[in-house]
Amino acid sequence: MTGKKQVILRTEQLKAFYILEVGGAQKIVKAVNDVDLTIYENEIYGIAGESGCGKTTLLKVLFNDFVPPLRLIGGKIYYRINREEEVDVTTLSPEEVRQLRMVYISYVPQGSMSALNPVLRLRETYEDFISSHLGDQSREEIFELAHRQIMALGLPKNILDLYPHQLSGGMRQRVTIALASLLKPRIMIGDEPTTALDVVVQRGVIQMLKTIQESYKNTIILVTHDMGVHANIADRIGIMYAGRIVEEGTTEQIFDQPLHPYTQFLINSLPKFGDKNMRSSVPGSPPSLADVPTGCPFHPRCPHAHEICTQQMPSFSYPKEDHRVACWLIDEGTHG
Amino acid sequence: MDKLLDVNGLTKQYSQGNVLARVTLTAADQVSFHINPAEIFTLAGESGCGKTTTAKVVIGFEEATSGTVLHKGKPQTPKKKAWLTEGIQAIFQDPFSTFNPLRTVDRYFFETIQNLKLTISKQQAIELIDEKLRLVGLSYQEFAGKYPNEFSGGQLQRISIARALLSNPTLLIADEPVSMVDASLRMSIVNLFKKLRDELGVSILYITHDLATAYYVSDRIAIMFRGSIVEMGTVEQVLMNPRHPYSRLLRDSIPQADPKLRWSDTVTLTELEHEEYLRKGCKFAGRCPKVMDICKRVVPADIVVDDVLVKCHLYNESGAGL
Repeated sequence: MTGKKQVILRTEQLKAFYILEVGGAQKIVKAVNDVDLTIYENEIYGIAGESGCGKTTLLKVLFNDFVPPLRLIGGKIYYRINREEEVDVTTLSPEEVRQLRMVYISYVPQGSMSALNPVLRLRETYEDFISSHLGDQSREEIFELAHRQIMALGLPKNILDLYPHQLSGGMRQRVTIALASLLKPRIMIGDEPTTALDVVVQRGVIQMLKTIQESYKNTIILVTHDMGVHANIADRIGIMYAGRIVEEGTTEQIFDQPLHPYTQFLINSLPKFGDKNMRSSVPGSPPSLADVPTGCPFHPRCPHAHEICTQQMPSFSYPKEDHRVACWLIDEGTHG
Repeated sequence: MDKLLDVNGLTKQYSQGNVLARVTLTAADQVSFHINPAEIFTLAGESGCGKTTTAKVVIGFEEATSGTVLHKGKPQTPKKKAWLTEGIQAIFQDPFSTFNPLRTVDRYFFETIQNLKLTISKQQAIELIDEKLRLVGLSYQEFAGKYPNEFSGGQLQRISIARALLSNPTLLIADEPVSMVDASLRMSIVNLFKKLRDELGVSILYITHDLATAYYVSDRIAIMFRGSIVEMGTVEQVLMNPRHPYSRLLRDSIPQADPKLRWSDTVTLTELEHEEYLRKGCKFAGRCPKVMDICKRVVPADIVVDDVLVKCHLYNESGAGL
């Protein structure tokens, strides 16, 4: 992880809210609130958090995919394309954005059944996919490419002649990942790509993601609530709570020295083999993003909350290189 | 100690297809296990291993093709649904679909009380509900008149446990009760199971694919694969020292929440699940790293090694084990 790290994706004070009209009244869901991220080339960046903390929305925003009622309220998203100057992608035209998709940045969804067209053979899905992103290439070249990749990823040879329903869930998910990585994108975004899968199949899919990342030396941004998956594959992890990143560090830092009380609860609640000691959940319930508590959003559940926690959101402190945390207690040095 | 639940040779077959091309799928094949009073017993395995089918037969939702299920020594009569009043209750996977979103949650409680004739007056009913809710860390005040969407997944799952407790059951059947609940709130459910076992003496049939929580909470465990129990014993023995090659694969495939325990070796996945179901002999033979000739022909017997039941040819008299 040392040496020169090339930034590939960066956000600045990113704010994206869902703005809903409910019976004349406006309801604002603050799904992504003041997120500063710097993600490098050749790394797997994990984003963890409870359901409803905004992690899927953050991925959509990073993919530059704003569908109303989701709106960009403020901040910037920069991609570094071909190692040149950073481009603020929120200013690009829809056609320019489309051209970046799958070629430069691709998306692996959670439910692979809805990602593949059920009435088309995979051959046709591949054909569609390639012709819309590569333009005028001959059929032979295209299938040459697809075949080579399918073989390299250890999928069965005849898979292109099958319909999606003929595949098991794990196989479908691997085909979806194969498609998402076909054009060697520099960034791959995965939204819970292994969550619906069986244990052994999940291991196979994680293995495949890792193989792809190692051979392309690209970046994977992976959202999952399963800390076990993060521990296994991520280089760095960002912990998200109520639309904000509250702690970020290398995988070792997050698991061995978590600093934010929320991260500590999260890590300590995980059961381990060979250890039957009592473990407890994070107290309370996650807040609604439409009604986020004032100050630090974790303060109603935090056993260490002070007066200031209820009033003001703490800024980041940097206890170590690569490790940042937003908590009032860390600044005062009275905690952890 | 008397067995609370005794399942013997339970087999459930489903047939698929039409008159001309009929395929019989054995979802549960000669499944036998028992549960003691005040014990948490886990049935673990991947999807399609038959764990939910087994649970459905035990609850009485499905009729077994063959085999017996005894509860406190009495045979089960699925047609009468009498079991639900006699101390068996169930909790399901998705707390959001357990409750109708258009009905307040407390109505389910009053209905259960009415159906099972648990109390006479409404005041008594409220007291009973409050007592059960306090067991799961909630109270009647914070729950009365609310709709399911006003609770988090973890809270709803605890509410459905409280509902199941209304009739003072001796056995709870929990089918994947934590897989839809956030990881950060999972332990509140699992700890509740421990509390019910230790304080009320309730037994729990815990059905899950999550071996880490199974290890944490249960006393004994059975690992199922393609319809059969392949290994059964205490969690210490089965999970810390798995004997069956499949149990070992399953245990090693759980992503451990510790970056020092990353996987170093690779796994091979099956290409066709159907094939594995219809396989003769040991159903794991197609993927087993220790496969022998006999595995492809003969179904292994249940062999007891150090009090652990293992269904594997490696443990025959001549075999040396893993």
